[in-house]
Amino acid sequence: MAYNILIVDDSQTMRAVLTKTIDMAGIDRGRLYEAGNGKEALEVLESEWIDIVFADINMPVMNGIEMVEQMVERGYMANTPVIVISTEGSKTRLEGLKNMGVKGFLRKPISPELFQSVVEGVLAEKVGGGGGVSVQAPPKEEENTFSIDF
Amino acid sequence: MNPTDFSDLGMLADEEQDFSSEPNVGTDENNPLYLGNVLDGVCKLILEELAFLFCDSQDASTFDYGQIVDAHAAYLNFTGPKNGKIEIAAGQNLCLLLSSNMLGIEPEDEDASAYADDALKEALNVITGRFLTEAYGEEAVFVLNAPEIGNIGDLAKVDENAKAESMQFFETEGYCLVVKLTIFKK
Repeated sequence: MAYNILIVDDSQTMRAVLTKTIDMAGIDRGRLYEAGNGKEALEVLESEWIDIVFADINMPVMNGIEMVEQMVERGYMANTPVIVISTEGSKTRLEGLKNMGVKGFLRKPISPELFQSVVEGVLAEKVGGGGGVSVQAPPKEEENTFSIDF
Repeated sequence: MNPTDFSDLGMLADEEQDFSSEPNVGTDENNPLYLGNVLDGVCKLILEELAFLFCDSQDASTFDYGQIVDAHAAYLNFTGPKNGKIEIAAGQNLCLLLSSNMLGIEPEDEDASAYADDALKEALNVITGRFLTEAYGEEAVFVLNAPEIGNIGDLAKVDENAKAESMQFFETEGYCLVVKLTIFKK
């Protein structure tokens, strides 16, 4: 199954790195969409079917938290899992994102192995229609990730 | 810019390097020596993980300022329990290395040049996020502004609103890199 993917990050470098990481992870991608901030991402979500969103938090115009809030308000979160990929390290903020329905978190710089593990978990849940949060908790020794239990 | 413009901060950084090597740097979140020590470690870790660049800390007194005279610079302001700014400066060749390593392409590739400034900003973004967590803990909530392209000359300025400042000097692959932290008075 090919997945339509939306990458939301104000850094064109990170968008390019993520695209490569997605391909390296062997994720079958259909259409790939890019947005430089949350506002642009919402415009894409309004007009295109997106299977999974990878979103940064700190972005100009509309940040990732505001974007997720809007996605909740518009009912997008039920069918479109969001994985946040950010430098963010605040447990308080991560708990807030989790409570809003964000399915996973990866801390920059991302490890391709952990990326693959988390994304496969989220996509398996989406395909399987499971109700729970299936994102795998990163290993404790992994420096690039949170130890928060999603 | 005149390399000697860095002299005051260079002395500060030099003292910090000596002090941070002591076993008891302290963990006072307003102590520039502690903050400099944290920033030094975070920069090395992030540049290695992000772009496979292995950095060595440099002594300010022997740092080759000539390498950063025409450097690319970026800054990022943050607010939260502490308000402040982190700045970064690197020469063109190091910026090309940074972008090409991040993208998995050759430094001569035209994309490496096209992405050079953006890669520097993204490196700064990641460094800042990790630094704030390491220095102030996982409970602290900060808002990071989007990184902006800055002026290399600004790194040499001593901000009158600064409560604490620290400047770290690095060498990697024969190129120089400078990272400066400023914590503002509330």
